[in-house]
Amino acid sequence: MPSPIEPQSPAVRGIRWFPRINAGYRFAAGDHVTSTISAAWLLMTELRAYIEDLAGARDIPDAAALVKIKIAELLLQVDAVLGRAAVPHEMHRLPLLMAYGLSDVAAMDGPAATRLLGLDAPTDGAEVDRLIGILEALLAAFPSDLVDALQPENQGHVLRFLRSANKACERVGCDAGFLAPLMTSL
Amino acid sequence: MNYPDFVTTNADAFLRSRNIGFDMLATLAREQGFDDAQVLLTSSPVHGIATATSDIDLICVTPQAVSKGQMATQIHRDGQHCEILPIGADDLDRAFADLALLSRCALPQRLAGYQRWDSGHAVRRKYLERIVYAVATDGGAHHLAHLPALVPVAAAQEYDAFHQGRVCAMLAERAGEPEAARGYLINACLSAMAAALSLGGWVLSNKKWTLRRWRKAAGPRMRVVDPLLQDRLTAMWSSVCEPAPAATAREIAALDEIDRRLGLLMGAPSLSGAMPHTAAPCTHAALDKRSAFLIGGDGRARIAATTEAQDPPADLASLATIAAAHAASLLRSARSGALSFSLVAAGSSVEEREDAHALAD
Repeated sequence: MPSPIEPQSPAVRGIRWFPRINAGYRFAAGDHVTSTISAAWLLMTELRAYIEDLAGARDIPDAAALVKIKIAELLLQVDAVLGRAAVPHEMHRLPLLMAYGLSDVAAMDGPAATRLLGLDAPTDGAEVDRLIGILEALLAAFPSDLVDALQPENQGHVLRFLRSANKACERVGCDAGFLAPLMTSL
Repeated sequence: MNYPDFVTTNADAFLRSRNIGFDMLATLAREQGFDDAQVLLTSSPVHGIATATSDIDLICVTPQAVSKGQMATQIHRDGQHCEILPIGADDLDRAFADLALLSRCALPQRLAGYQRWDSGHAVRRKYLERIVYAVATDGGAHHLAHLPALVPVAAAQEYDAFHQGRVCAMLAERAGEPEAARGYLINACLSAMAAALSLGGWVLSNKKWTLRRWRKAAGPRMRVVDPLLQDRLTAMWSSVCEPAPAATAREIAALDEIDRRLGLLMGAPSLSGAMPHTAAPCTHAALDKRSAFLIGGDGRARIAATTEAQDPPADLASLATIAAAHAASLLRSARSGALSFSLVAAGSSVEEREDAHALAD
């Protein structure tokens, strides 16, 4: 079995999260605003919720193992959103990640993404801690403050985020209505 | 399996573990203005699978109408994170009536009806499933009477997901994508587990709980899952967790037995081994002699080799011998949404004939 990647190992420290965003590439404004806001929302709601699920399942390997799969599917979804591709149906997300890896969340091939997310590793408490560390690093690398949207102390931040998202949409002439299905999917 | 005892025992144990009672949940609902509502504890606590960080999901069935698209209210109280969602009693009555009608349809119609359920009902699928197993603050499981209607509808969805995962696993293997084949196999295995659990009366669509339910279902006094499926799928899960290409190929072949067993239990044995498909219409815009843009009705496009346009084979068995390029092109079409292997496309006539024979017997 391939060795899992430790959160503090050079392999993880060397990951360039969100390479096109952090490298400074430019995009068509409307598409860039909608895709970046959609990705940020998915990360601060769904990924944060999965991190909470992982922590709760620290001593329940059967639950944690499937949370890892849900995280893999979510990252493939975020990758497609950032890449402006139609998001594949849920049934294809895990296989696509395992075969083709990620591009816009982090540039890595399928086997590397599989190892990083521990899809081949037994899910014990140490593995849960390792994965949470990786996901926190991913969230910290996004160029926006991706707080936990479900925590009461963050409600003000989330409302400001939504107001700012709305203004950014107005500025580039796109409809902020695309946020509605993301919000109701919670 | 005595589901009323199951859910009420689970609910009591959960509340004790959090040092709260039904009265606290009823008070929370009252404070939100749901004085005359039936307050229901739902989700993982009633299924006996909640973790230390699980939310408390409450549904308030109110005599007043509830506006469409109503979102849940998040409440944090004494360290508990509660979510309260109102649902109108009239909407719920209509949903249960439609579910009963749908449960009597042939499998393809059951699939199609449930897939478009959310667009035609105020009570979304996930909440309908939650309400069936819910425990009210008076301690009763008042909606479990609708479980016989939910089971054939929910099991059909899981069986369809299993079938599509199986087809794609075979295609990926033929296309030379072993990692994708393993991913599809994992999905097929989990969908088969969920279908088997649903057929035993334990419906919960959220995939993250499937394995935990599967292990619990193997416990004493549960008797939820068909013994052959319990044995085969438990072994298969152990195997798919190991990244070995030979094991993936072996387990994909083993899906045939799972399919036949599930098809039999679903009352639709003729569907195992079938490979109906639906192709979405698209227009072609040639780029050169070798390639064209395939433009879908949604305005999205992908570029593909013009040689890709080949129909899927008529049955599952033929997938084992199709060319790698053909398998790869079918897989790309499926991933792009242009091709679906859902059993929705299966004619209902065969299954209806089987039902008629079963009645005659």
